[in-house]
Amino acid sequence: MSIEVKKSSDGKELTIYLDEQFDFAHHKDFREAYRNEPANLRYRVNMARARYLDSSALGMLLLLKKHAGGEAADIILEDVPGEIREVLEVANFHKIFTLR
Amino acid sequence: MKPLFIALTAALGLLGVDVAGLAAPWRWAVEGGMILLLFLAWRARGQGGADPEKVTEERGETVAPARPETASGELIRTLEGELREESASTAEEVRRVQALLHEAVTGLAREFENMSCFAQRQEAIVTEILEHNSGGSDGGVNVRQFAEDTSHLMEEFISILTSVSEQSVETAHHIDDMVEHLDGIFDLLDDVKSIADQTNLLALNAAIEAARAGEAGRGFAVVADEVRNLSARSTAFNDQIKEQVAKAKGAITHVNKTVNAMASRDLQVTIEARNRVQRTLRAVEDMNVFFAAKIGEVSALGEEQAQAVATAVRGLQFEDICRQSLEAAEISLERVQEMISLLRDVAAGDTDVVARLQTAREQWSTTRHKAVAQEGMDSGDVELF
Repeated sequence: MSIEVKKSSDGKELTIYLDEQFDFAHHKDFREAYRNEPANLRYRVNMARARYLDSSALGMLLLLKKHAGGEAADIILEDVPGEIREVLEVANFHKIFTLR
Repeated sequence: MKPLFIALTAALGLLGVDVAGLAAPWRWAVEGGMILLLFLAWRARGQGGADPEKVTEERGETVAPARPETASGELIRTLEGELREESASTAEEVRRVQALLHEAVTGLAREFENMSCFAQRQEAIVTEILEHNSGGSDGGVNVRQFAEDTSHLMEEFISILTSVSEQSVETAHHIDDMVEHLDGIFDLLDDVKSIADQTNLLALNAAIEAARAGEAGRGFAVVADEVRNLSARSTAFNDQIKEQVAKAKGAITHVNKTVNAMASRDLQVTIEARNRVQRTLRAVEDMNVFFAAKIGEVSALGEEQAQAVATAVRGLQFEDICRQSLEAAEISLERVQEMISLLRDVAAGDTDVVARLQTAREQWSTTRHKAVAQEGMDSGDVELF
């Protein structure tokens, strides 16, 4: 099991499905998912399977936002489990990203 | 002598009732009855024997009226003596009660005031303690400020952690790019190597062709050899470049490990620490609310106590009523003593008694003591006299 990437039929939305561990070991795969895509896509990070985040996960998400245009980025973190939400809130990520 | 005796005894009885019923509204009736009885006694006295003055006038002589040592006269003197003693004794008791009452009430009032002072000081001390604890005063330990500062520090720390994480992952990306470029170089070097190998082959072929051409191909063979040399050197350089690039790649992979460590921090400890700080802040809030409530309670109690003291001091005003009652009692006793004197005069045969009694009653009515309406301390304010 690793990171999966799906693009919508109209090509305007990209969803990255995360694995149980979202840490530094996955940094290359995560980057590859969006590296060659344009900045103006709708980006969705699906965290339904995620169980563990470390600080590198925070960095990776911030770099995705940077790629997608910074303040103008359209990014939503979907299906965030309760414990993961707590981690994100400690880092004030609920103020930086839209959490669902 | 019997009618006299009966009348006097009845008069004394009424006198007693009069003294006892100080606040009674029917005093008038009682005293009227007393006067009537005294008059009858005086009349009855004259019946027992000849009126001394009449006898003197009839005789035409000046005879000093003999003092009759009648049994009733002695009885009256005895009674008068007893009455005088008892009323004097009562007067003494009244005075003593007045003194005791005054001393006691003054003492009580003073102690109530003291209690009130102590209570106020206690309240001030408690308030001081509570304010000190909540950091209200300058020198106090300000737990709330400490908790807030810690909370801010936590926020800053997390912010720095996030920044470092972002920069670390970005560095990792750059390193990945570098490794890609280096791998690109390797690919190029491989191409160069294959070119050198092919060149070598071609040169070998050329040498073989030159040998076959014999003497005519000797110059060509030399050129072919040189080309072979060049390609060998090229290959050697290639290998050296490859070696360097491999070293570079190795060094970069080393850096990758460090960046990995920098980027990967476990967040669990941070989360727990932040939660603890939040809990402490909430506890400090609760503590402040608690202290404020307690200060409120202490204040309310202080007010209640002040009111209780005021009520108690007001209660001591019963002394006024008592004093006035006692003064009235003293006056009544004085009047009783006057009447005892009149009684003596009746016994001595004084004809003036009724007139003097009437005069006294008229005097008394002008300074009649108004009965105090208040029966107890509950019925509102004290009447001012």
